[in-house]
Amino acid sequence: MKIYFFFLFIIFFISAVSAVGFSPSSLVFKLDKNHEQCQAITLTGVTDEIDVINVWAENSQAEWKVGEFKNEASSHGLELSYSINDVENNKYIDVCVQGSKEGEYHGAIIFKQSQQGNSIVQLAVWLKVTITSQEKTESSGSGASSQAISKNQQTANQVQNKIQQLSSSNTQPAQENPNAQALADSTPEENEKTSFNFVYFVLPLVLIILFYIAIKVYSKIKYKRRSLGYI
Amino acid sequence: MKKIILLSLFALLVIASLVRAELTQSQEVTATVVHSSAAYVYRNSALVDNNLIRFIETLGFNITKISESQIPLANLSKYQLIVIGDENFRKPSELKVGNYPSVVINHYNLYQFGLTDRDGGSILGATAPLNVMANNISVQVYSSAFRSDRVSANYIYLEKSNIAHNLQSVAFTQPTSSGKKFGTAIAYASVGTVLENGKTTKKNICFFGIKEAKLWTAEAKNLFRDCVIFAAR
Repeated sequence: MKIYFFFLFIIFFISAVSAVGFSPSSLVFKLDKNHEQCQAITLTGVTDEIDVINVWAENSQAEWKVGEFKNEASSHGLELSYSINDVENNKYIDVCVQGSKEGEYHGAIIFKQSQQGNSIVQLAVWLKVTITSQEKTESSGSGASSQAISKNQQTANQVQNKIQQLSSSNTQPAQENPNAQALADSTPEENEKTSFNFVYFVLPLVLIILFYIAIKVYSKIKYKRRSLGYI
Repeated sequence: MKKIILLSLFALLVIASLVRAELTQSQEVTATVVHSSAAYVYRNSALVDNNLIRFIETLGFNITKISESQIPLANLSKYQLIVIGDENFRKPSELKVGNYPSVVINHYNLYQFGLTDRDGGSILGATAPLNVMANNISVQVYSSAFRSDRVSANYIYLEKSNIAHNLQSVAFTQPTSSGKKFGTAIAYASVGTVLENGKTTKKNICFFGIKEAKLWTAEAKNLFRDCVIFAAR
């Protein structure tokens, strides 16, 4: 009987780790005035329709808190557009930004899943946009990798750009429910590294170990039962 | 006395001409099919788009709402138009899009309907009200960039690489960094079109990606009216 519970636990674990995630955690745009640049975001395990919200800090000195971001893109002369493509259980989102005013702007793009029962899952990707008269481009390492991040994700070191995944157990928007926010600070490069480690290395390894343990336990029980003469 | 009669006659004339102008203008949008019946197919009654239904009614249709579970028992052939809402249907193949004159405003089941390959439809949104390219002219289709609060209004499009080969593109996506005409926001499939799922249409289909009826501009309404006329032809 116990063995069935063990397998049930494994099934539960697998479904838990393959839940909603996103990559990268932040996008850095450095662009010339009135020039558009696009970068990609991948949402994994998201099949439902999502609402897209973008919010901006009043100035670049403001704290990196979604709740503090109350401005619209237009108030900074920014124009943002996005396109979403569904492929199997993932969503690939192209985010394009252009601006007409020089300066540094901090914002977040929030992907809000439709309400399921009592809960809403919101994922937020930080946006840092620097508009200059010189043309410079820098990618934050987006597009090439996908990342599965569980609710209480790891915290890395650097602060330049922050990651935020919001998951609240009520219908309040995340901004009004700061306790539900899980914050992690990391550079885009680190995020890419983490996503590679997690998806391509850690996850299969964990699954293999679990499978091995399960087989071991099962054969041990079988052996015990056989030696006791039950089989 | 004569003056009063003349003045009131003049006023009457002015009012009559104003009313006539107003009527002609509204007829441009509404006069299509009179006293026809249409079915609006939905899965979740909470997600029925009442703005869309009201507009279809102004086009002269009596709308019957049919839930997906009622489809096997419903006689869809008695309707002049079937409208498929933007919901993830459990058994999309049972809707038999292509057997009936249909308007598809849906991005979940486009592959099953044969309008795209397996990759399905895509979504476009922006911080400014969205446009489409119709007849090589940029046309604003939403009156606002936001659906509610700060949630952006978007539309569905069929990406160039995903759209069924035989569809006729009527309106394209607004130009972005991804290029011009990288997707189709409105597409027609005439009778006899072989769809991506291998089925041949017996009736016309119009795919209409501009799904936020609440925000439609007059131009978007005209595009939708054309779409309905094509499908119900």
